[in-house]
Amino acid sequence: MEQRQSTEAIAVVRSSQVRRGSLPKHRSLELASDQLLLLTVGEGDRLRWWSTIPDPRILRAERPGPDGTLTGEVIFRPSLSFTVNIPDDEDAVELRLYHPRWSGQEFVPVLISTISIRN
Amino acid sequence: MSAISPIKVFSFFLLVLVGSLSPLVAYAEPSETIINNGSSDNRVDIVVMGDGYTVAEMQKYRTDVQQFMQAFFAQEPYREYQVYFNVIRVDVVSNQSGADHPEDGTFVDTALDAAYNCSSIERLICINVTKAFAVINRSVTPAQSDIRLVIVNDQEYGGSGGVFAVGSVNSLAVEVILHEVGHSFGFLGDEYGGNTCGTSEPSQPNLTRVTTRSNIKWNYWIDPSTPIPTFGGANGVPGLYEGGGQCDSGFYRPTFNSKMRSNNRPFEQINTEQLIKRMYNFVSPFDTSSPSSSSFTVQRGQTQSFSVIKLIPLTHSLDVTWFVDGQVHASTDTFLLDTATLSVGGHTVDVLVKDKTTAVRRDVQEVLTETRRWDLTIEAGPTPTPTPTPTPDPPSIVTETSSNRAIALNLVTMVRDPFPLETLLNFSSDHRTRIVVFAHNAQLSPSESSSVVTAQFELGPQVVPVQVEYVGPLIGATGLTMVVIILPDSVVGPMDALLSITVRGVPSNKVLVAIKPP
Repeated sequence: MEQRQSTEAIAVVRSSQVRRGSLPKHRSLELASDQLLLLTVGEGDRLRWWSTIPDPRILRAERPGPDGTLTGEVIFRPSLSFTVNIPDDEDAVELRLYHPRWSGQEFVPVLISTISIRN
Repeated sequence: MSAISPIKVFSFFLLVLVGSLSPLVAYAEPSETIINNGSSDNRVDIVVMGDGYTVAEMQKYRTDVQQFMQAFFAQEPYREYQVYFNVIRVDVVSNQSGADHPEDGTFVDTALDAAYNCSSIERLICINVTKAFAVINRSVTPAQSDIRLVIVNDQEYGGSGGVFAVGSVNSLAVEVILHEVGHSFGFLGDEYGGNTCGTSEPSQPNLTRVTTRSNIKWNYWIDPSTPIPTFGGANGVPGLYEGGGQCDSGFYRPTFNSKMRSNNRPFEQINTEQLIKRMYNFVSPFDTSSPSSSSFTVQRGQTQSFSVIKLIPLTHSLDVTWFVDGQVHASTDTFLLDTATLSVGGHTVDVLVKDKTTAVRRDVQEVLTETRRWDLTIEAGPTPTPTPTPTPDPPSIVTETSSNRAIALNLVTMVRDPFPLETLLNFSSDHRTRIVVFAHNAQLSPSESSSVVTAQFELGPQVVPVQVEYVGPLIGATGLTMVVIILPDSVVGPMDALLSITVRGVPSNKVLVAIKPP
């Protein structure tokens, strides 16, 4: 079962905030179709940072039957507000959000939004 | 998969938070790290929020969270790897208790707007994701929300999965959360059927359409005697069971019944393996290592200490291996390198920490392993100060107690002094008397001869060298050496002679030996 989200997303920065703390890196890039891949890039499209987060548009509804076996469905919420954390990196100029689309053999990152982070 | 909304264009609002060292916000909900196993930089941090708890119910909330997390960590593999997790409880206060039940017209004012019957699905609880993110942003650091849980203060069974795993306080809520975290954290697929089927191979590690044994993703878990596909209802037997991915046929799951299919089941082998690998996607097998600098210089001959602080799962230990220039040197957490064994120049020290748990059989990304390298330059040490030759203890001829008179014997007759200068029955052609004295610190090394020992008599002002004929150990008296001396052929003056020996030039004490007048 794979997700079938639209790729024609529009992401709008509602607000931004600078916070204290560190942002640990994942030790290995592992993708799933119900995740979002976040990248920050610098000048010349140089990759600065990446991470994955659960796709906040996806909502799972699952419930047990009489014998305990689950049934369920996946609901796709087209519009919502959520948060991402990215490093405060002065060399990063752009945040890119990708949906990892499963081709049946590999994940193809589909760009769903690009956000300037240095205005 | 079924109900994906067929919307072609959508929008969402993105609130970008940038981690840095600047000050934070004014108000935050109280939070407490109720399970603290280490720095969030190297742990999976679970943030738990409540909804529908009033001020008066805060103690109930704390108890609910405590019991919930105990139940969560009672299940494998979270039990074995509990030290890989922190849990932060955020005390979110609602104006009213419980959750909305639109189906019966019940609406309450809660902090996160929890509501049953979401999307007209009876047991589905939705929360206001925007508000939930706002609480997290106010109350915990960016590193403290790897997994986000919401506990809704309502007894009716319900929950939801996604970026927030939501469960009620119903006794089965932890089962809901574990299953949903299996999706959002473990990237696991559903192992139940019920809906339409996809046509391509699924991406999830616990689902496949492949029926050729050698090509099944988890084939290394399947015993050769297990038929493919696998029939029957034996739990815990890896195989190829039809039904999964919300699809009744054509999709296969790895075990008959796991938590990704039913409540109150273990995750089973393949899902457990995946969850452990996901933990290691967040957590390195070791927290710190020292020295902190990865490149430094050491003078040859110094001892350099290296150490690693590894994580400790509940029932097994991670392996540590130290390498110097690629060669295995130690397998302890701390390693002392004797640089005297290394040549001057560049060397490498590597540490490898690995979790060899039998619960993971394949780790292509090698996330269960972490290494660190130090580049070490050995430079020549200062010119060593010559070690002074120890002054040998002087030889000491044994004397009578409280006397300066030697214990000396005629070598043939074994009679004490006074000694005649000549003895006819001494079996020698010169007939001169041989006496034996005993000395400490006069033993010869294997390469030495008796020539390193000399002797002399002092007869008043007269000093008469005497011949040393034999030097050797006294059997049965460790450290005592026999010295056989040939008396001179003539002496004049007093008959009490002072005998001394020298051993390698070191003089002994002077002892009295009586000579019988000729």
